[in-house]
Amino acid sequence: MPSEIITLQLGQCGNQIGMEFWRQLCAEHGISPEGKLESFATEGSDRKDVFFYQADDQHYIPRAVLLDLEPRVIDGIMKSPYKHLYNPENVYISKDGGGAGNNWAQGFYQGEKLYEEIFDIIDREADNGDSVEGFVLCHSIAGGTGSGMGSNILEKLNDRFPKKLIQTYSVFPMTNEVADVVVQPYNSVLTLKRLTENADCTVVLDNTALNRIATERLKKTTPTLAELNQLVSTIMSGSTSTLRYPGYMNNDLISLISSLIPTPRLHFLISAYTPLTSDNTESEVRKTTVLDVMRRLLQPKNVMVTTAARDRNVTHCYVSILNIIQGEVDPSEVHKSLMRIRERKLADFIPWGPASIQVALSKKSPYITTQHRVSGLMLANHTGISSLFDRICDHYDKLIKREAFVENFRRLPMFKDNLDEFYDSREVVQQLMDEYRAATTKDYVNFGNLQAGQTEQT
Amino acid sequence: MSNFLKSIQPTLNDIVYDLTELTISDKFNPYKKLFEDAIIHRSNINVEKSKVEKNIRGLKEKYIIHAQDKKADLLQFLIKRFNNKPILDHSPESEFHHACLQLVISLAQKPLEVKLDNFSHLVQEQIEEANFDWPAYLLGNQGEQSIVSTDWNDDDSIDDDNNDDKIDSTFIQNDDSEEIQIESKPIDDIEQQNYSVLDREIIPSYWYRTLSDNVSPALRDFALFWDQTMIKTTHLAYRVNSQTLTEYILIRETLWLLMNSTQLHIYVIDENNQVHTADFVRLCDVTPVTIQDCLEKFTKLSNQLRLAYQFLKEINYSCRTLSSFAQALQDQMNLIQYQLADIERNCLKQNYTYTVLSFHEELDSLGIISKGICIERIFDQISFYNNKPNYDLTLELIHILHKNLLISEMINNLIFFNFLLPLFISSYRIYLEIIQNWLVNGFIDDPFDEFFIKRKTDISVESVDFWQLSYTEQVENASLIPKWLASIVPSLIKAGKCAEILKSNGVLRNNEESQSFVEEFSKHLEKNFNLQKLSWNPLNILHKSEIANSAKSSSNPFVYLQLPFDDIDNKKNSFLALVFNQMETSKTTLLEINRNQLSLSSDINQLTNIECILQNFSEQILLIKCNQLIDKLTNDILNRLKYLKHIKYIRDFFLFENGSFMHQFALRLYSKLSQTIHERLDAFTVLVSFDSTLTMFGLDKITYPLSVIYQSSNELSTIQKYIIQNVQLKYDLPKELFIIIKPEQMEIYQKCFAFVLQVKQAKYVLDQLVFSEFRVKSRLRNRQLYRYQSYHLHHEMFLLRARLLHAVNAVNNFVLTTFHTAGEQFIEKHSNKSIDIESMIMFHEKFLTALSIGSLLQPKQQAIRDHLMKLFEIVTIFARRWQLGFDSIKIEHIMKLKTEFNQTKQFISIVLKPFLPRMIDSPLRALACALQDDFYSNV
Repeated sequence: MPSEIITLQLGQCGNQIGMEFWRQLCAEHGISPEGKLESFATEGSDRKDVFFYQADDQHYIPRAVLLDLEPRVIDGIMKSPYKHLYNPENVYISKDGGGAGNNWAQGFYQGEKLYEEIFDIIDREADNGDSVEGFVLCHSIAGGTGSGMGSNILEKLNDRFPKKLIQTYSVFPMTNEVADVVVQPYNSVLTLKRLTENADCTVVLDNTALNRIATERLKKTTPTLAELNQLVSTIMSGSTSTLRYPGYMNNDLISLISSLIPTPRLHFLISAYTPLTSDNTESEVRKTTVLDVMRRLLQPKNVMVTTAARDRNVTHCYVSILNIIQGEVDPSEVHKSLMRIRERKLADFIPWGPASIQVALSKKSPYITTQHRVSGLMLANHTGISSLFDRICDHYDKLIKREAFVENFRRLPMFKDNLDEFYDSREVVQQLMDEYRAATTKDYVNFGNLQAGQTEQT
Repeated sequence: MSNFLKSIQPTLNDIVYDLTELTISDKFNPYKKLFEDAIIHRSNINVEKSKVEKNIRGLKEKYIIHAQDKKADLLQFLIKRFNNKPILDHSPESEFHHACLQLVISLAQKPLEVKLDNFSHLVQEQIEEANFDWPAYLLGNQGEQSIVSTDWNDDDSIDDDNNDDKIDSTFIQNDDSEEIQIESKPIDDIEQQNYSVLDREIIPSYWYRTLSDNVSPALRDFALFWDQTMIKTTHLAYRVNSQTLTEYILIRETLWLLMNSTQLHIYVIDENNQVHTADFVRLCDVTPVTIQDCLEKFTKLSNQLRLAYQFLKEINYSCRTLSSFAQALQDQMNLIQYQLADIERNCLKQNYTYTVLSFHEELDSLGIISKGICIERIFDQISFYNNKPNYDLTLELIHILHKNLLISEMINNLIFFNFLLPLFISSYRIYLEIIQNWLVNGFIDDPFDEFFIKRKTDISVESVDFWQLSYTEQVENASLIPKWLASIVPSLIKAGKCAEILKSNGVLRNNEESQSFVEEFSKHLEKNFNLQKLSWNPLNILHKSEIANSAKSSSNPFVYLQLPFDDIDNKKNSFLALVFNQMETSKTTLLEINRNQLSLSSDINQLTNIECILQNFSEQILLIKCNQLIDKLTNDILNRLKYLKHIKYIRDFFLFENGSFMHQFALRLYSKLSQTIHERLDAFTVLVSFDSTLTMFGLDKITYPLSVIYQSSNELSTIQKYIIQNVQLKYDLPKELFIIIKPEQMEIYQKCFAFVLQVKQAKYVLDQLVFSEFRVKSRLRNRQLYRYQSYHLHHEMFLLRARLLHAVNAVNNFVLTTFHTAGEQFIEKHSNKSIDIESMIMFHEKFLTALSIGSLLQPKQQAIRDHLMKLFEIVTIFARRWQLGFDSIKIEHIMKLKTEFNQTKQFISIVLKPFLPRMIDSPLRALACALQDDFYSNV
């Protein structure tokens, strides 16, 4: 079937959010944990084939590749009720099982070593589809496997499938408190370089913001990892709902993303979802209209990335917005809502190009009852994302200044001779931040020129 | 004689059988003997043809006067039957024939007295007619008989002898010596002499309405005797113009006048068929004023009844309504005639002695006077003779009857009401029959063009204009359509069309309908008016009769009474017996009918007036039936023909509503186009793409309702190079749905499809412009790339891409959202329960209008459309450049495209500008907003 999407789950975080994602997808399509179609779901007009394929015995199998360097998380999945869901051939755990030790370089190196085996799986999976549209990568950028091996795979995917779309759901580490893993900033910056250069689209999931949302919106005092992962899976399933429930618009991934991303580097998307509910709390959102949903999506407290509205004398703004509205919606409501957003000036847009709020209407899964008539997901390109990179770089700079903890990296081939990769990555991230900042001004139209001129001067 | 007897045996058998219905048995023979005797006896008489014929004619007239028309017809038939029978070869034909006829005549001669319950009695009486004791019978007094007999001549004694031969000879003698006998009568004074002159003219005309001398002598004698006796026994005699008229004569003449006799003594009928009181009666100074008044009233009444008689005589039965009306009128007139005949019988028998005044009262109490007024009114208000089209005439007739019915109800005149109601019903019933037929069989069975709704024959049920043009109201003056009917005419026409469609769809079956409107209607009326059961001739009988009538329209209206003896082939058909039995209606009941009706109708609930009842009937029966039919069609369309499923398919296929299939098909075409830069699409590519899409979805090509056509075109324009064109979809819509989705409307869908295909192509082409190439280069040249001068060129391209995407997305959103919104609204409207075919057509048209706005098909939108095509062209060229590689791009190319794009977009924005300030949300306003670059900041 057409426009298939292959999901790659990397590392502890990637597999955990991946598992939540599949749990959600199974529920939405009426597929049992064993992969069997539930009796109530046989008549659906949904397109299961984008994310699943059918085995010879008609079982639905996710187009998913589960990769990790240590067995803990994947073992957990394999002991869960969903153990029969996945194609066992697609589950790959490094044989030594030692993990990457939260070391990007280790992960990257392992990825290099395991290249053949991993890409055997990915190639097979890609050949399995009629016309694979792209890959979705789930990982965190702070750890070892997700960031390091993820970076490696990103580079390789780009070489191997140059025409395929690569989208990542990247979990960014907490920046407001001291992390468990001290080398987080190194890992992050190194991964960010690959995300900048090798991904078409990165949905940034900021752990800081996820925690904040879980605490504030879901009223959890100490949100568990599972609850945070559920938030992520909600975003993931929401952003793919137009692909899975075909409607009159937006039938493939590229059509969703293309208008969000104006230039190659500006592809880091923030996301927001409303209304958020969890199993044991009653939602505080009572009435949902399209306008309500769209208004709430623009509120920073609902955004899954903590960004600053201003930093370094820059007023950040939206480059573009995509709202995916799920539920029974009269299309005429959409236009009215957009008019209201305009009147209230709820969104600031870039001054150099066309402002657009794309709205995609999507059906809801008929098998899941929700309390709300309308729910909405926003994917937006916002220049404020640079403040997140800024914070990461801030931590990175402090660490690299002292060359703290670099010994672990030096042990691996990439850093054996020098730390150029660090500086190179830092520069790429800096350029990225610069472009985002440049995009807040009118002069962005001359970006190339100006930068060239500046470079020449310096 | 024995030879003769032998030869007439079969005929005798025939006659006896016909008359008595007896088969050859013991009982049969005595009857046969009786007839045999009679014939032998009659054959001795020297019967002349002319005499017999005259007798027959006279007898017929007499029947008619006595409102015994059936008997008259029967007689006619009987004679015909014998005349056509070659009875004997050797005997002089005429003789035997006439003898037979004479027998029949004598059998039938006393129409009012014939009691048919006992045949032997009938036969006996008829045989003995010649020697019947007239005076005794007429005076009804045995005591007087002897006195009168002495005044009578010797024939009486001969009569008593029962010697047939002698009686006959006496008759012949009488014939010869008649004048002398009358002259020599010992009548005392001049009056008598005058009267004896009078009798030659008047008396026979009572019976024969002819002044000929050749009347039956016995009857003439009787007449003479009668007057003589009556003058003596009635004290109410007036001298008029030196002639003596008894009230008795006045009354009887009046009776006959009212029974439509034409030659009368005291009344004059002028050339205009108008009756006047003869001068000698009116001018008589001794005639009491009251009697003169009465005579005037009788004259008037006669003229009124004459209107009806004239109508019945002259009307050409040009349509069924008129026939039915005439029949009802005839029934009414027959009732009046029966009543009059009954009065006459009472007069004759002297059961009751009328004076002129009491006679008038009697007429009044029977309602005949009122009925006369009624008839006058009707015929005053409508002219049947000036060649109006049937539909106008019919409508006018119903209108006038209805109006008069309402008036009679208003003034509470029950005689009027009861007289008019059957007329009204019988006229109206044809409409009901037609409507019934129409709704049951799906066509208007109206060969006489009398219904006010007409089917245009040149528009077939398959025609696209069927719904709009197929039925028209053909009325000059629509206000004539009665209110209760007018209120349901729209529904009726709608239902009629539905019926026709259902019929042509094979859903409507003839025998489904058991309940007829006419029956319903009569039940309805019976219930509300306490009427006796109204009986209706089935329409087909009426229809047959009026076909017969149209062939010989001048024939007697009674001809369409269904006489059972038409069925000659049936051996068991004893026509005489049957018909006479049918005639056997007790006269008292006839008289009572109206009185009963008067008393019954007095308890009509005044709250339920006729208008109300008709309204109820229309609404409860007609309208419900109409609505049932309309619902049936709706159900048929929605359930059997699965209209909404087809609409869904059309939406999915032509409007890309369901992304999957069409999306994939389109993608195949697009990718084909983007692969072969210099080649255009061809039919083969299109077909292969379609087939492979089918295969991909595992669909069977043969059963799939969609197919695809590529129409290659020789016209080469620049646009054609880049933009997908000439791909057409072919969707097999069931013919039955053409009523809603006309074939030419499929063109609009086709155009929508073509447009969406182009919009989606533009979007697809832009979507494909990913940064992978740039990324690869970026990695190869490492970070230096961004520092090169050339990055600015790339940046320009990226930004132009973003702008193009923005514009194309706006158009894409506009088009698809408009389609989707229209579609959803369309479906939502159909979930309403009260939906019917008309609203379905309307909704579909609205849907199409919305679609044509969405695909910019409206004439005013042409400029936008043209510029959108330009935009798509720019998009395609830009995409080509992008795909040809970043290195080959020159800044001039980009700048040129940028300028072109800005111009195009500016133009579209200017055209759409008027929509911006509008408060009403329209799709175009949404497009105008979406195309604005600074939409969210420029408030």
